[in-house]
Amino acid sequence: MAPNTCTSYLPPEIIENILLRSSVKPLLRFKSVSKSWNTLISDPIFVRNHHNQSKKSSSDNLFLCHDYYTLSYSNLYSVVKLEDRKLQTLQVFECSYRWEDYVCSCDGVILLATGCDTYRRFTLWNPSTRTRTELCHPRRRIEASYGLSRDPTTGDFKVVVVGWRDSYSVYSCNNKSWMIFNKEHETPPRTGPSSCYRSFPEVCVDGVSYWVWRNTSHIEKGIDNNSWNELMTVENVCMRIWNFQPLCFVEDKIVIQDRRRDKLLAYIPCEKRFEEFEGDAQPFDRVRLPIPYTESL
Amino acid sequence: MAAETGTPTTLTLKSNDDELFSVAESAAILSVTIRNMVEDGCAGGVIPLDNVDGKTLASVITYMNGISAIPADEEKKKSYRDKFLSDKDFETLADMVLAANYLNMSCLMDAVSAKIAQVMEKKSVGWVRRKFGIENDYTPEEEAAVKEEHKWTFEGVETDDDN
Repeated sequence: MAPNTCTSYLPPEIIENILLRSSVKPLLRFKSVSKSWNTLISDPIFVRNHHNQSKKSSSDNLFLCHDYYTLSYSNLYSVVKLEDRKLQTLQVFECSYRWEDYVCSCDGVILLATGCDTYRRFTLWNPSTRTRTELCHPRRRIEASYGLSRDPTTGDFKVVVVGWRDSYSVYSCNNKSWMIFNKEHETPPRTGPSSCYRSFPEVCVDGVSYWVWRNTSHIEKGIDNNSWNELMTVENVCMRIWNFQPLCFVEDKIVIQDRRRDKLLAYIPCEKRFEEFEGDAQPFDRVRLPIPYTESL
Repeated sequence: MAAETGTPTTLTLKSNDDELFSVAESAAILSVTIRNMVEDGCAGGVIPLDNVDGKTLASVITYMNGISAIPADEEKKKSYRDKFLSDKDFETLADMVLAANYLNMSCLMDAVSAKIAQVMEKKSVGWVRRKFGIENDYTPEEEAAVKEEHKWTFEGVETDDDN
C-alpha cells in the first residue's frame, strides 16, 4: 500500500462490520450495489446481527408513538427518543391503519388487527422496511390475548393467540401456518389479560412472549419454545388493571406504564416492589400508547 | 516490561514507508497486536508495522495518546472518538479501519466502522461501487428490478458528483 495513492479496497469482513452499523434505509438501497451485497444484506444471520447492533446502539429508549394531538385520526406515527426526560422525534412514518388496530409489537415489527373482520385478519407491519405481511386466524377470537415474538435463532416471527381457557395457537411466518397447542397450566376461569375489547399487548424478549395476566393478583406468563409457563406473581399492585401496561424489559426490571397517571414504573421481580422513574411524568402525556421500537430489516 | 524504573517505557514503531514514531508503551498497548509483542518480549528496538503507512500511523498514534489520557469514563471516550473522526474523509477512514483491524484495536475499529456507515447514509449506489471497488454484476434488468423493489430508499440520496 503506497502512501498518497488510491486507497486499497476494504476486505469483505470489514465491509460487513460497516454494514452492520448502517441504518435500514441505506441498507435496502445498497442491495442494488451487487449480487453479493444483496445476498449479504438478505442473509438471516446478518439480519439478526444487524438487529442486535441497532438494539445496542439505541439502548432501549426508542418508542413509536401516534401523534394524536396534532391530527386526531392521522395515519402518522413518529419514532421518538426518550433522553434526559425529553421527547425527540427522529422519523415519521405513514401507515394506512388506524391506531385502534394496534395489537402488539416485537423487535420493531408491529401486529395490527385489520379488515372489518376484526381479530381474524392481521397485518405484520415493519415501519423500517415499509413492508407488510397479511395473515388470517382460522377463528375470530376477541376473547383472547395476542403476542408477537421472534425466534432468536431462526429469526422467525411468531404470532401467538391465547384463548382464556383452553388452547393457544402459534403462527409461524416462515412456515406460513398455524399450530394449536393445549395449555398445561389451566388458567382460572373468568380471568384474562383484560375484559375490554382490546387485549393487552405482551412484551417479547429473546423470542419469549410475556403477558401480565389478571387474577386476584397479576401473574406473568410466557411462551417459550411453544410451551406455556407461569412465571411469577406480580405483587403489591395498587392500580387498576387497565392502567397497567408492560412496555419492555430493562436489565432485570419490567418497565410498566401507569396509563392513568402517565407515569413509567419499573417492577423489580426479585424484590417484589415497584420503583418510579425520576421526574418522568412529562414525556408520555402527549401520546397514548408508546411502543418500544428498534430498527429491523 | 520496565515497570519498576518509574520512567514510562517508550516504543518505536516503523510504518511501511519507513517513518519512525515514538509512543508511550501504555498508549501503544491499546493495540492487541503490539501488546502481544511487548508481552512476548519482542518489542525491543523498532517494531515494524508492514501494513500501515506513515500518514495513517501518525493519526492512529494521535488517537492512542488522546484516548489513553482519558480516565475510565465511557461518555468522555465516546465524545473524544466522535471529535477525532469528525473531519476525516472516506479514504482516511478506510485506511484507518484497515490499520485498526491490523493492529487489533476493537474500539477504534467499531468507531471508524460506525463513522463510515454514517458517511454512507445518503450516498448513491454508484458512489458505493466506486469507493468499495465493487463490480456491478447485475444485468440492467435485474438491477432495475432490485431498485424498483426498494424504490423509496432512493429518496433523498445525494447527487453523485462528489468524491
